[in-house]
Amino acid sequence: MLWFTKYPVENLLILSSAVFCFGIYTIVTRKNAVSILMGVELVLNSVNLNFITFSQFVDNAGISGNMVAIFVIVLAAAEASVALAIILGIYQNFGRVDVDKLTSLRN
Amino acid sequence: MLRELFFVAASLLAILTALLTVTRKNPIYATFFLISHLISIAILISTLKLYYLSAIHILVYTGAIMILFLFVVMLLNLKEEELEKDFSIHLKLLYTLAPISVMVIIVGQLKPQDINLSKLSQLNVISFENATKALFDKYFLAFEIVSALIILAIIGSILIAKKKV
Amino acid sequence: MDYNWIETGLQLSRPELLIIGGTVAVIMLSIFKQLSRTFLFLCSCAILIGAGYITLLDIQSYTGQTILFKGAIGYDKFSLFFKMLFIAIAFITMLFSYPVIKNWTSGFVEFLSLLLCCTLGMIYMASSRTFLMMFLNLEFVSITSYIMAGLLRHNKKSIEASLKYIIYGAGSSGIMLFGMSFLYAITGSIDVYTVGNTLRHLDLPNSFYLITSILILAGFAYKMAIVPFHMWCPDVYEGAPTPVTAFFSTGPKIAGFAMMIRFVDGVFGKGSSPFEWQLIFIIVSVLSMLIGNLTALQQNNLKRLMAYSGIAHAGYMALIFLTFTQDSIGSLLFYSVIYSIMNLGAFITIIILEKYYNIDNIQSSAGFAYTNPFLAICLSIFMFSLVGLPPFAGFFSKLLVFMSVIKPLNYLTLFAILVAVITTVISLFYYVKIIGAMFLKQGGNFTITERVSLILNAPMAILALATVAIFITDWDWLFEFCKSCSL
Repeated sequence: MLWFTKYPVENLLILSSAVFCFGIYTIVTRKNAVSILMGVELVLNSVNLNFITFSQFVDNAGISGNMVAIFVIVLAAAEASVALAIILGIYQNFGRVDVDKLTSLRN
Repeated sequence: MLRELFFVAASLLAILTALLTVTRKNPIYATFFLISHLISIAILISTLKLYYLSAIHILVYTGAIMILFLFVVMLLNLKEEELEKDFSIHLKLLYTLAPISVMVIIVGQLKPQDINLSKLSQLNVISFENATKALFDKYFLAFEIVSALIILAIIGSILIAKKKV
Repeated sequence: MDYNWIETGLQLSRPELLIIGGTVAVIMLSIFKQLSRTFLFLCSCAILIGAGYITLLDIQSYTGQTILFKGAIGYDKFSLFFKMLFIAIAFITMLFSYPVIKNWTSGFVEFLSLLLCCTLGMIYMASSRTFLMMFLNLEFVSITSYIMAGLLRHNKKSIEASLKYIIYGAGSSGIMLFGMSFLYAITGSIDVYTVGNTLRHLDLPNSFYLITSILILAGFAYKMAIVPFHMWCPDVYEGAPTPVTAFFSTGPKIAGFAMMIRFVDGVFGKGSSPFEWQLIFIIVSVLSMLIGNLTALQQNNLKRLMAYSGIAHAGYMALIFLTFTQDSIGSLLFYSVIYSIMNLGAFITIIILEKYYNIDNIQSSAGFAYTNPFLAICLSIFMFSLVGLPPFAGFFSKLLVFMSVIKPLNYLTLFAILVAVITTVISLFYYVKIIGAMFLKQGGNFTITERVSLILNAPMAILALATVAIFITDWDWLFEFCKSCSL
């Protein structure tokens, strides 16, 4: 409890790095396209947290980290909508959404 | 003191729910844990005195993106056993250890003197007004580009997802 | 409040305004059913011609540097050069894609508008100066690319290519932003030039630079398709509609290079820097040349082969980061012009082969030269140029890049150049394999359903002429122009 509040930046950094690692792990090991997308959301979320932390704690950083965070949120929304549309398209064509079952392209 | 309490609780909750998101086999559970993860991140942001960003975070992430996820998961009727790639234990270990080592290196490099260690209660509040002023001032072009991007994303997702030609 | 900066900014970005306004207009016009597809196509072409004309006027008269929109984008000859190049690429792509896309049941207007908007994103990629704009425009180009790859959504290959693209793309751009957040943590700024200035005064450990640059390189390398992040490339190239593939192989790739140049120029600078970042580029470019060329040897599908050839060419282009001088940037600009000419030309021939003769691999093209000698000759010109054989344009571009790299001769640059020359020789095999199959082997009958459209033949002939003409005419002026446009 004391440690957490004494070193808030370290705490947030460890949290964001851990979330980043979870995200990368999900992207690499899952085969379900929707789960992979969740991993991408986790990665973007950790990035967001980083920018917010540094914008609040680093001297003379100003508002730019906040702005990056807002734009990342919006881009995540746009990307997720397109990705989910593509997943629906995959489902219509293949009947499933597992990445390793997609073999119409060689290799 | 309440702020510190929420800060600690939200960070612990965030890491726990992220871990649960990654490990759940049922996509619906994973989505629900991801939603709770995002909410706890929003609480964390509000303890940093960024109330407007926390509101945006909940509105867009939890309200829009995650509901879309949930919708797709339920629409596709994803089954439990369809998760987890069959990797060997070594590969799994590699994929887990590689990012963690990266994380350890980075966190170790950032020395405290680079960072102004102010207490949570001494942080600046950035209000909605300041944020919007910046949005239409220094980040004007980015704002316009994002608006074009969203139109394109709408056009594209309608085109790809619609069933009839 | 003072709004003069918006006025100045908008005045100097008339081509972009024309493109975005034209896109909206084309989408709106498509609602009216009585307007024919040819009309919409001509409208889009007119938009690009107009934008190109304005840029041409600007680039002739403009010298100097301006920063627009309060530091968001830089307006200089470098960005103007890429604006011109991207508009030209988009125009040529739009021209030769028309015979293919006019028969699509859906996605015609979407193709036109997405192509226009992607051009806009690429223009902003080449001129962005902050991390935010870089990430934003990278995503802009990426998201339009995902949709363009999946335009034929009832085609299994197309939609699968789209999914693979979006998974790789979203992951790597997230990683890139994670790396950028650490640079922001140290310097407190998102402007690349401010970041660079601040970093020069700090004494940071090498491992910090190493990890951050690798993380950031993930995003750029995926767009440039160089080796650690090239896996999406062959699959997406094979699956996407062929005009879209032609566009991917030139436009977004060159835009990635332009953005990388500005990023490196800002953060590390041309002179000495606290970190030996050139080492990363040596590894990356050597690996791309080796893997690209060696894997291309085993390919039979034409589009996959072009994908690996594109990876190899990205490796040659990445060589210029070893000596990051004005000369070497100029040679990269020259290379990108020549590369887009010959690559677009090669893809036009692939489109004709695919559309009229149903050929998509090397084996089935055996003996094709006797059916359509004109196309076979054009294809051989492009292939020889891609190898870099002397009379063709590809030779000069490669030579300039190698010469600019070898200036400060040391073991590392010597090693990189040696690998580049050896892999160039290797690349001769697979390019000649195509030509050999067409000219030397006996093949089956090739029946043609309709005459090859002039809109495909004419650009192909012009591009082939351009590839050859550079030998006859004086190519110095083009290089001088490129050098004057470098950062």
